[in-house]
Amino acid sequence: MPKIDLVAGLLDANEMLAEQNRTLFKQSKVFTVNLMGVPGTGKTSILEKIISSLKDKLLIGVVEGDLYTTTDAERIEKLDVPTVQINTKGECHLDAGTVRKACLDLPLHQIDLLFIENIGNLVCPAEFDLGENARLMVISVTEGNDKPWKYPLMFRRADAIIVNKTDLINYTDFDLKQFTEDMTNINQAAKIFPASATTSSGISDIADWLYKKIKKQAK
Amino acid sequence: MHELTLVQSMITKISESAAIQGIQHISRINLVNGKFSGANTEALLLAFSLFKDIPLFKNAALEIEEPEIIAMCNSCHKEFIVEAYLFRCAYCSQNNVKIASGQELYINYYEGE
Ligand SMILES: Nc1nc2c(ncn2[C@@H]2O[C@H](COP(=O)(O)OP(=O)(O)OP(=O)(O)O)[C@@H](O)[C@H]2O)c(=O)[nH]1
Ligand SMILES: [Mg+2]
Ligand SMILES: [Zn+2]
Repeated sequence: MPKIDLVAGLLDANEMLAEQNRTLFKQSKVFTVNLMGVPGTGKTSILEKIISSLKDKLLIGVVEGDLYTTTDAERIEKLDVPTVQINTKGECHLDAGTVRKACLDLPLHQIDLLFIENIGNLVCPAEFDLGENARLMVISVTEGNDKPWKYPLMFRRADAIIVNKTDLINYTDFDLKQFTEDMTNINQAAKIFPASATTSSGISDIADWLYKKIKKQAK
Repeated sequence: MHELTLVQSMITKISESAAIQGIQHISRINLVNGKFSGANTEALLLAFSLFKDIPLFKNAALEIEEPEIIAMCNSCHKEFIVEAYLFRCAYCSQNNVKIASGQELYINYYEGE
């Protein structure tokens, strides 16, 4: 019986499109951030605060991924930044092709910083490269300390992790020191930013970190 | 359940190749799913069962290999197996390590006639 050595990756198509996105972002001089985290962790709330903090220095654009609704895009549009909504209609992650299409509706050449809010999910988005420059993850103190060990791929691939809702930390058993130790063992290189979108605590540190990365990239 | 998307891509790739090779019935598919690919082997098998009514795949058995996660230490440059997602060098205990393999997800080969 014939045996065919195929050696074909199942994510080849996405990887090829992600590579094209990377070229497009580079040519357009856009720094792109893939924002990930479980539903309700505070991705949009953090984004609103970061936008307010960087809006005077950079032109920011946003791609909002959501299963069915446009509520997040409507929240971001209020901040007067170019925003495009993607509805995945049930797909649990954004892929490079969908992001590419959404980008065609944005004035990419004018934008310095593009945020892509991914679908709320800690599993699938980890595998789909969008061609981004940085992966930013949001976890909140109400989610518990065990998450890095349960979703190691997502935590390993993040460049920075925002620990949100720290205004509630005294009502939870979340242990920031333990989290930091665990992260050393999973992804030593990741930056950790304790923050609260409600009180704005920690937002300026995230904004500074992003701003420095963008300036470095632009050189 | 993005495994459905992944299996769909597998079905497309094998169907295209089988058409070129003139293969009408696939008997065996060997897939490599590294332990840190992000795709779940059980979910891949379940997703594959949904495609069994396609004549080409009716008698196809899907075997999935799961290679370990191998990392290399950036300090002592030795390679080691990552157990329980602990990204720490097994020789010198420091955490600055890079993944050498274990993230792959690909069709290795298939058999048919
Ligand atoms: N107490 C507190 N609540 C917060 C904080 N950040 C967000 N929230 C609340 O958490 C809820 C969800 O916030 P969103 O920003 O919509 O979360 P999201 O991650 O964008 O959610 P999805 O896009 O639906 O996945 C809202 O009710 C927010 O007001 C925070 O720092 N502290
Ligand atoms: Mg949101
Ligand atoms: Zn070592």
